[in-house]
Amino acid sequence: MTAVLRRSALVVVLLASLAIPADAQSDELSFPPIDSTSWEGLVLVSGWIASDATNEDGSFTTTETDIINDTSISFELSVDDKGQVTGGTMHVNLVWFVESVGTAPTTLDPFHVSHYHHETGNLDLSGSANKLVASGSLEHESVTEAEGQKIDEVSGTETDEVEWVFSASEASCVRVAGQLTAATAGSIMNSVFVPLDVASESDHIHNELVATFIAYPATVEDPAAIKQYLDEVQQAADELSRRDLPEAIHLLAVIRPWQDLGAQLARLDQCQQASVGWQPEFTQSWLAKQIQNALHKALKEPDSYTASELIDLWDAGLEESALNSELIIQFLDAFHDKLNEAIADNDTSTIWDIYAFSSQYGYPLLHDQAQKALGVGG
Amino acid sequence: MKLRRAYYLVAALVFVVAACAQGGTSTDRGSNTTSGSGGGSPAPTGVPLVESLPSIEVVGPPETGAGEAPLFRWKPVDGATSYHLAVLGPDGPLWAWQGTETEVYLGALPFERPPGWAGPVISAGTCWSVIARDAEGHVTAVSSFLAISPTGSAASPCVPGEGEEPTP
Repeated sequence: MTAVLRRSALVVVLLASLAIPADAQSDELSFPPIDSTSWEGLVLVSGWIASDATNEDGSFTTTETDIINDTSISFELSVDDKGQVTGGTMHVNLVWFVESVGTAPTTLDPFHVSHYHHETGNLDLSGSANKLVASGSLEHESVTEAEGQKIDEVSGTETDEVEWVFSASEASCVRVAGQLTAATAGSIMNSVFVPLDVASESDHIHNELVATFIAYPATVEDPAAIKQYLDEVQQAADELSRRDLPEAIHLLAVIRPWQDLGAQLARLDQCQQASVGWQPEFTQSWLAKQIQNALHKALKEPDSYTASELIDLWDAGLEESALNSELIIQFLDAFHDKLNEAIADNDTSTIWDIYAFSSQYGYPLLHDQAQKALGVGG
Repeated sequence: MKLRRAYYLVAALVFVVAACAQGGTSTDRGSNTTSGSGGGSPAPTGVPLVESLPSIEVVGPPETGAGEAPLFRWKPVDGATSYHLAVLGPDGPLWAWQGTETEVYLGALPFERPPGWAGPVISAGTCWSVIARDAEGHVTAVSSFLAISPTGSAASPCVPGEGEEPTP
């Protein structure tokens, strides 16, 4: 899995974990107070609605309305420090298609009519995240075809006055999202509120239309220093995982930028941290796992390291709480072997190193053996 | 070898269990004591970590009232290319650090740890020491083995090489 994919997946986790609670006083969601007061977003309108109607004379009509994929509704808005929208525009390019087939009453002659609708224009935005209002005029073009022949039954364009109201159901430092809650009567957007399933003896309507919105900060906070540490941590971790004989310096190449990243983030408030999109991947347990993997590799080949190099690895592991019981056993076995070798070789420098280590960390077996070999102390 | 392995297995398990227990109680302590730099306090004293080696002069933190994430400081040693700090909690190894600087906060943040920020914390019964290494990685100087307490209560004495390990 690539780092980008991992990061993306984890940002999703982050989004879920950093939801801003509703305002305690107003019980409303608002655009969070991030540095950026500019937000961008999309309205996602999709789906279909179908109806079947059967008359007593046996005639029937089946109609299906589909939102066409060409539809795009984007917006940008600015908010003040209280989360109120101070201005904004929604750019509407809404396309839908209505197709009806059936038989005419009495004659039961078959018919097939299709309508192409295209609504375009810009709406003004106002309100807040809890009640985001888009209002204004849209140009509405429609073309009708029947029996395979194009007819100009509705030619040219009309002007529709519309008002769409959206309400946020979640708000975080990096995303505000919600759904359409009201729309001008008779409009395609208003069809969203038709119940999912309506059935009677002669009629049946099934509605799969949805209209939601999502907004995100127009300028995501991404301090260069944090981005740099983020990349450094990832690169160093990748490099560490590829090493067969990792040394302390390679562990520290992950640990130090990770600590620097933590220091930088400590200076940011929660919203800024969320904007950076870093956290879930780079947790203490993530780091400890990287280090443990490296230490397991190293301790499979203890003969490849000097005692002081092993102590360096120990220190690096302990610095980030990566020493578990299995690793401790492996380390102590390795130190004992190193001490035996050093005593046999009369390598006093190494004996001193192990003596100091055992004195610092309180391992009496190593300590006493080294002490005896050096002929010092009690 | 088998006996030694069994001994360390028990020791390691005790360490891990103790570490877990320590983690569980650390948040319970809830001390608001700020980290002490030791700047205005007398230099701490302790027993020699290793006899017969040159000493590193420690500047801080003070033995008591050091705060939960103190700043460890010592004077530079001629010829030292790195320093290795070890913090031994009452239940086993707590934290380590290696670098060229002569001061470091517990947890290695470059500033005093903000409230609520995660990281290791000391408790009563903690001991610490620092050693200096030469370019070849060998020990050239050592500090005393120093007791430290986060609060004003007296710190427990520290004895080098004596961990709270059970006998096999």
